[in-house]
Amino acid sequence: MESSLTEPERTGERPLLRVLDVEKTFGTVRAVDGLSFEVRRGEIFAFLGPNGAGKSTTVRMLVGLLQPDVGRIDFALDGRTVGEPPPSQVGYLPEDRGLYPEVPVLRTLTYMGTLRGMDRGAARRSAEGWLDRLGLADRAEDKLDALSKGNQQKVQLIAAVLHRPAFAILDEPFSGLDPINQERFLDLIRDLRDDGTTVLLSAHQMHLVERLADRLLILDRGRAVLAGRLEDLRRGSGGRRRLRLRLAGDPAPGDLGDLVGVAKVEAGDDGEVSVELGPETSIAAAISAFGERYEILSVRTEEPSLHDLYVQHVGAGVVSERSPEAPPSEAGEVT
Amino acid sequence: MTEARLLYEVTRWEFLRWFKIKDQIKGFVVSALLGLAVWGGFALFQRAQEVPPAALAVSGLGDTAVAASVDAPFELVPGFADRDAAFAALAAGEVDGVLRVEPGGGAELWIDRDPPWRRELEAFLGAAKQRRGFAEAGIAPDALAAILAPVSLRVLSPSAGGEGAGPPAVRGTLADKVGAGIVLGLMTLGIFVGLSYQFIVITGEKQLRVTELVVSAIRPQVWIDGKILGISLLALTSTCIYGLQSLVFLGISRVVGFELPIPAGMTDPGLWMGILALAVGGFLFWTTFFGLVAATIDDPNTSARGGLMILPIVPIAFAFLGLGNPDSPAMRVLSMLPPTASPVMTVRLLLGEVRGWELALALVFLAVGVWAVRRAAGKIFGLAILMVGKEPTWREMARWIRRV
Repeated sequence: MESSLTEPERTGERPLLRVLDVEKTFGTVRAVDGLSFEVRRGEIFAFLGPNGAGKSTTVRMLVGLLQPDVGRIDFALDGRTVGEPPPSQVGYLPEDRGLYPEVPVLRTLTYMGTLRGMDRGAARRSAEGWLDRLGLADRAEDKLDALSKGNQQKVQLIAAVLHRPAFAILDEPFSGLDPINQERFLDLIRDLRDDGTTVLLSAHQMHLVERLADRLLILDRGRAVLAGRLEDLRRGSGGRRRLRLRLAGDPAPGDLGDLVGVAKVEAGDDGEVSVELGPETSIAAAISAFGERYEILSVRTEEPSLHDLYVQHVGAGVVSERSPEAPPSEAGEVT
Repeated sequence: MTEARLLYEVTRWEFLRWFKIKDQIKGFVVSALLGLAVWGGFALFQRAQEVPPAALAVSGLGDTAVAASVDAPFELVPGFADRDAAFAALAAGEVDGVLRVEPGGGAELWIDRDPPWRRELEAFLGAAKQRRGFAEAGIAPDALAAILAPVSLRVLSPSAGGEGAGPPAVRGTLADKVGAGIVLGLMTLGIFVGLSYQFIVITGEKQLRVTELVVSAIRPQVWIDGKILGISLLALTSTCIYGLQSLVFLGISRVVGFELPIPAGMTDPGLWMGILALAVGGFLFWTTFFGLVAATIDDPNTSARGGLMILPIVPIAFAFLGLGNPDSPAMRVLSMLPPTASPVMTVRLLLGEVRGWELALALVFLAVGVWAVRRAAGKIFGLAILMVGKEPTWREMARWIRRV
């Protein structure tokens, strides 16, 4: 893969995390294959990828549970660059997670805080504060297994961040949550970032990641296939621009396919037609072509969703770490 | 936070997670009530068993012999001149049976049921026959009493007591063996409390998926060290509480009249210090060993390694087998080996002759054994605790240990 300067290097800001050419193999399976990326201070960075893409293996290497076979992982914390960050600076919500079901919630959280370097009193106060913030103050003395699954998830998230880490790694934070709690977790993760915690999250829920992540990295078979800011990735995706049109007379989609520059036409739910444009067709030219044949009642452009990008790239073996349309400063972190 | 501080926090957590003071107090009260119930019930049962001595119309036995039956569980009623008079008294319910002693030495007892005091009656009649024989041979009653008096044997220890000291004590009596058995029982209890909790804690945490969260925060060696200390402390506390409950039980026994003999040397603080050190060493050794085993188990319900839990029975069995000969060469060797030192050396301390250097050497070997197992356990624990869905093979574990 091509190597280039990243934005932090150009601006002089050191990234909080730098992963360089990391590989990890289990037996005959290469779980992570030459992966490189950076996470900047104060951002929410998302990992996406299908099952077995290497997300959790990468996360486990970041928290020191696994060691890379090849490559380097550097953290810039407290003004020093280290391979293994101090536990007090890192919060970790594992994908496979659980806590002590027979122990009161507050006691468990206090213990988890002490393991991350807090003294017992501070850990207890912080846990009480988080429980209050998440509406669980009155459940502090309840045993964990007396809580609903959603509330248990909240407690697990608190256990990962109650020590106010500089860097929080959240592996599948939304799994098992209902939509209401997913929204709460979104707010919570944003709050963490706003409070100065850099967040790396791995998730499957693309509609949530789309709303949350400042930058993202899509993995497939251990390799990076797409990385950068979502808007840059959309611009750089090519050939996936869509128009949603409402036309007088409600023509059938089949009548529109012969228009110049139209790749695909689908009927929408509410009388609209969704038109996917060919890579060489400009939006203005397409609207003009439709206008010549039909009266256009309404028109709006539609950008490819993260889901579209994901489906487009995952499994195709495409490595599009830098789109020709995206500025290198925004989409060039994968080297 | 320093590792020592983290170690303290883990130790504290593991101990307090399982030590429930309210449950312990309840257990103590239940033990006292149980003691009262058992001994009280036993006393009541014995009292209910007491029946008035059976009255036997006797003929053919001299007055002297009849008078000698004062403490017997039967009452001999003389004065029946013939068989008919005796049977008439029996028919009238004036006596419970008829005993006829024949001049040749034989005797007949007429009674409805085979009596529970039959052996006592036979012994009594045998003694009466002897006395009659000695009397007929012309031996004076005083001389006869002197001949028949049992020998009084006092067993004294040349190494115990001294000028002006109390009665010299000797070791290895039945009371000592009972005391050693109780101490061994408590030690066994402590070992199994420790290994059971260690097993539950570690396999439980693997199944609850707590491990990644904790191992991302602290080194596996610190984590297992904390577990070893916390669970060993729990085992020691449980043993002390069971010991106290035993004392309460024995105290209640004394109150209700069952005085159990106190083993010699039980009041020696030096002896207890030695036993305490051995118990702590044993608890540490086995909780460390089972920390190692438990970390390699994926599913405790199906793993064949669960069978290793009976392993501590072996040293306990050796210790019990050595109660009869605590200073045999085999016991001396076993008391030096870390897996067997705790129970075997405890038996030797209570029943045998142990030199100071022997105890010191056994404790040093035990400490070295605990340290070595701890290092291996830390390595295996660190690698195996994160394995899910499979168990490391013995060969893999041996390879990991070689890297320590």
